[in-house]
Amino acid sequence: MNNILIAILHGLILGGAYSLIAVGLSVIFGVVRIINFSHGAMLMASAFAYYELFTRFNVDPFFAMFVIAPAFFIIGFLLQKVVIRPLLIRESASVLEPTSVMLFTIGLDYAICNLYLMIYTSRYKTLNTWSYKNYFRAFDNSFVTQYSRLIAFLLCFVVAFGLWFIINKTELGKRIRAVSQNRDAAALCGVDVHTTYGIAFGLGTAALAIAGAAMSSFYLVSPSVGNVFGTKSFMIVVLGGLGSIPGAIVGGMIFGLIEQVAAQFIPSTMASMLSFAVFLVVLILKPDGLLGRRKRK
Amino acid sequence: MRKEKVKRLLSLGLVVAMTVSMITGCGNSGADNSASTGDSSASSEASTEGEAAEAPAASGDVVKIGSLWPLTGGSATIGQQHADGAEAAIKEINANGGIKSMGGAQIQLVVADTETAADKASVACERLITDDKVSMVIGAYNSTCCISSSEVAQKYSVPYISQGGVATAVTDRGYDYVYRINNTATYDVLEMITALDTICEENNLDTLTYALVYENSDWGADNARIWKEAADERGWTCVLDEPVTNGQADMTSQVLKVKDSGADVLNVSFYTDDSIVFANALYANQVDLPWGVWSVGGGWQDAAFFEALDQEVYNYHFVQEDWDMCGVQNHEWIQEVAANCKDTYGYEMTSFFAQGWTAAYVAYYALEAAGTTDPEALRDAIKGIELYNDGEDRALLSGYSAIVFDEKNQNTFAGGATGGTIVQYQDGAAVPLYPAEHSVEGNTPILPIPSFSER
Repeated sequence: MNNILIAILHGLILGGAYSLIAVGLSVIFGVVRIINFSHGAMLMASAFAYYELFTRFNVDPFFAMFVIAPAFFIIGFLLQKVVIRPLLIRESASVLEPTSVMLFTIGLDYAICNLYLMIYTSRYKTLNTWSYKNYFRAFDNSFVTQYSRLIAFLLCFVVAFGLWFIINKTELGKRIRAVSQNRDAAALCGVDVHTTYGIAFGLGTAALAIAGAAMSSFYLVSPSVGNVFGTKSFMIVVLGGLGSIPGAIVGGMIFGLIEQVAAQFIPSTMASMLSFAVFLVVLILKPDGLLGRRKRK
Repeated sequence: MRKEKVKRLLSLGLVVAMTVSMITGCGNSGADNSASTGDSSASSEASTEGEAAEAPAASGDVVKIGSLWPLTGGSATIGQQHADGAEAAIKEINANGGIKSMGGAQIQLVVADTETAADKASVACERLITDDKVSMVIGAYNSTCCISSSEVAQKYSVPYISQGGVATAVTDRGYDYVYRINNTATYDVLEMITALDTICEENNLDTLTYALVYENSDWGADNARIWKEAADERGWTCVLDEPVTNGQADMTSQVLKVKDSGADVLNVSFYTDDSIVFANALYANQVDLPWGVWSVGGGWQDAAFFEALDQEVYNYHFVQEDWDMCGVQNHEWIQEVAANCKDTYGYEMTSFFAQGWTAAYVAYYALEAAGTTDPEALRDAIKGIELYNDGEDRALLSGYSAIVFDEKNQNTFAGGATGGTIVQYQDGAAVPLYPAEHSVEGNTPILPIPSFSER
């Protein structure tokens, strides 16, 4: 099979993993208007949770996520309710996108990373799960990828659809959308804004924990792992359109495709640069991102 | 009101917990060592005087040495092993009476983190010198970090003992306070090329085609350049030259290029995280390289690499090890140090541990010879060091045949036939092969390497 076609397939698979990691971030921003800079650290924290369950109880991350994702929902919900809410209330009168919360998440990122470094040291760990060690092969062995990457690709659509369904087709989603459109108006209509924020934050964090299951199954687990995916997640979300779930999918796919396909024609270092160049060009031509909604003046 | 107060207290508690974790974070498995990732460098209790953190460089009983390594980022596991080695050496030196020429002064390591980044390395080095008032700095493994941090040490006229970085620029700048005890990239690469010469001769190969895939850093680029120059002299053909940005989530695109190139030999230079991802992709895509994957070390020397992968992934790979793999096992005291490493730090002694150890010992010898922490006297003392490996000098755990500095302050006895060893992984074990004097009878390479369809 042609190398370019293989590279496209690999690009889509990698893009799926990127999208899966980015989609939670997009939900949090879309509703709460917070850029969660501790996204990478939380991904890492979830990966270590899977590491513990796998090494101690031999539970595969793709099964463990049914426990870890709800746990991370609660963590996200409480984080919003207990810590972020007071900061939001304090700034709500003056700004729409509170800077103190953004700074708080930066601090939280450092704190979580350092805490895990203290506990687990910097040593790389891998989860030698079935999906890590076994490969999906197709087209006469021309296309080979770890099963974990394939599962991550599929999960990206499942999680995105799940979030889309909750937000667009449920009563809770109606409240979430109302709050994201105009929190003051939603509050006047009787919506508990901060509980809704908490739920949205929890949903984003739970989606991230699901991404953690996939990431820990195809990549390494270490306290610095969030750096590999954290910055890229922000770029993907901005590229696709802040707050847009389909945008996160499209953004992730674009990044994956550029990294894998362009690298077949140009050196890898230039392919990495190309991702940034595309990101800048899109932002210049379409500041709200590819699928982002234009802000009303 | 009460509810609000509770929430405020809870928030305050969280902030305190965050601050505490940031201050005490970045530590290692050992209970007595800590390092900084960001704003602060922390003292390592290698000395017995915990409260000595506030002491000046050589007040009474304590002399501070900066121990600067990548403790986070891509080279974190490697850096930690260097830091562990340095710590173990200093513990031993202090237990044996400290610096005798300074009245038994104890040495205190002040550990700092380069975060595997050149800019962070120079900031951390500056902090070690200006805030912690260290008398000397040892470090910093990555070539880029060695270059940037030694620049700072030179500016402040503080002796700097470079360990790990192999880029020629470390000692080629004419700096009188910067010394390097390990080999340069030239030696590492030429050891592999010389081994390939032997292989070509034994197998009647007239020429080779080769692919280069390497981290786009001073280290990786230097390795590739030296390999190319040596290969050109031999008339070998380069079929792929692929620099890669570090921290890749997937290396399939690079591996597909290698597969497409049809190279006989692949030379790779990556640190641990990228090494694991690359080796996995190479195995998954069943890339046949009849005359081998040749790693200049880096990730392929890290215990974490072997823990992370099944042996099928790295079997048949050739690795340039920085020490005499067989000689290491021949001395009782080395076996004791290795056992101590396993007990204290939980891993088999590696060349990285040994090199951290050697760097600390060289710093100690310089202090002992100088009898003072005066920078000029220390600089001259390092320059005057002449250690020859008689098998008993504990400084030479790294296996170097000697430590003697040339006019560029480069130890010229850390590489070549006297230095490293080329090993091939066979059934999961490292088998020393080249040079012949570092091998043992019966060790033979498995070549050409069986194709994946034959395995």
